[in-house]
Amino acid sequence: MAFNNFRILQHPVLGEKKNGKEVRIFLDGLPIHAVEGEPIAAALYAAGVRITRLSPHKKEPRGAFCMIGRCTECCMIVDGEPNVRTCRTMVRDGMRVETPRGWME
Amino acid sequence: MDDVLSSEVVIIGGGVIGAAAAYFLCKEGAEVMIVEAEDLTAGASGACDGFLSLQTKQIGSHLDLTLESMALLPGIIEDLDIDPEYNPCGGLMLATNQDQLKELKARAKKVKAAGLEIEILGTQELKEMLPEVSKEIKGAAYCPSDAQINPIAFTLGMAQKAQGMGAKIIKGCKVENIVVTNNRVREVHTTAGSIHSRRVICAAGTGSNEIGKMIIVDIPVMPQKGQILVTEARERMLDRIVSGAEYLGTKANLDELLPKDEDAIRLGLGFTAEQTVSGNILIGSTREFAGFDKETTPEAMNAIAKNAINYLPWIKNLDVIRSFAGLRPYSPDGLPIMGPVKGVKGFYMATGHSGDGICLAAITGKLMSELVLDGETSIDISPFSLYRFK
Repeated sequence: MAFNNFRILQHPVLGEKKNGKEVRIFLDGLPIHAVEGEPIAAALYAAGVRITRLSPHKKEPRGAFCMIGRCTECCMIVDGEPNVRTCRTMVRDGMRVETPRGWME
Repeated sequence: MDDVLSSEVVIIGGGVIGAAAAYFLCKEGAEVMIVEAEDLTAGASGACDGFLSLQTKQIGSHLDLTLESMALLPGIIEDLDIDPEYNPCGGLMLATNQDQLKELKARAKKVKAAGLEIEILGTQELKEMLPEVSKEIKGAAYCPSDAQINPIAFTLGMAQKAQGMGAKIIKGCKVENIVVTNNRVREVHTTAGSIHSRRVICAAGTGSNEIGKMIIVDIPVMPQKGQILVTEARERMLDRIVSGAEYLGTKANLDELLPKDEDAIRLGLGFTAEQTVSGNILIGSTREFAGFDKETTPEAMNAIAKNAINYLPWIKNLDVIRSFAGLRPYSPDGLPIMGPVKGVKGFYMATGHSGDGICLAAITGKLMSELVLDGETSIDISPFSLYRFK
């Protein structure tokens, strides 16, 4: 995986990365590798995805910002559910993640 | 302050009432100045939901006034440059048991006689209007004239329009004293200097009591706290404004419709829900007396959320992203206080609208313009006189 180097394998405080089970999620239908125990936003980031949604009215790109569930910039549609904070929602095998493209019609 | 300000009319308060009064006065060519202690909509007008609910009004002068106000609304909205998100959507009041439904039926008869269209719906008819309502709901009263509006946009829209017609708006300007000589208002002393004026309208909402003291008049307006939850923005889920019969009980103090639970009575809990144009659902609400405290409390937020699920079970799947509390200018009988004050010529009251300020703003503004400029009003406002309390 080309972008796997975004995952921190050796962390100065947290130590060595534990190897979780590899799972597969789908971003707008495209398969993405993820590791069990990580949030959706982390899996997307590791896969090189920076745009999590388009803003409601001006349809400008937005990306995960605070990573602690406060800013809601990372909200996406997960298994049909809108406004899911992907930085606080863990990946599950087969999960379908969609990029919201502006205001829901 | 070296500059001596003057204005034909001074309006104390930049909420929905002050903005409406300024709007109507400017239409008549009056010279108007609004003095606002904080900012436009800093008080109750900016911390409420957008219910324009006719069916919750007290039958009699209160409802008559509301009907007049609603009739004025479309014309004002047409005239504004800011879209106030007015939606004549109709309103449902839900009954959780047969007793409540019976009470709503009896009330509907009286309301109809007073000139407001209202329809009692059985469970089947209600389901057609509100498909995902709880199975526990026994029926509802549907009022097609109920509507919703964005109270902040509405207030700012009227203020902006008034400004365009020459009104001056001074923000962050607190009234410190009102000078009365020979039984007439002469001057308003403020933190921004003195303003010469022979006509003053008190539209200060919860601050009215304090203003009254300056002219030695007891204006019995008290702050009543209302807490509201805001959910995440979602696709259209609520086509109408929805409330529970207990909301009416708490609002109009009807014993038969009050909640049974002790905590709910103490909080003045009553269910309301509306979806704004932005998609967020505002869930209400409480009616508490806590002085000027504007904090939200975990107890009330919890109670509001739990109560809402009893009516609309799907609401539990939504995230609450904010909560806020506002202070309503409560008057002892829930009716506004409007009109002149004995012994102080040129001082007019437009306050105490309780939870109905947004709904009654249009007619209040028009009546104030008539009262201040002509000395008489097109509608009898004696039921709203300050002296009804004596």
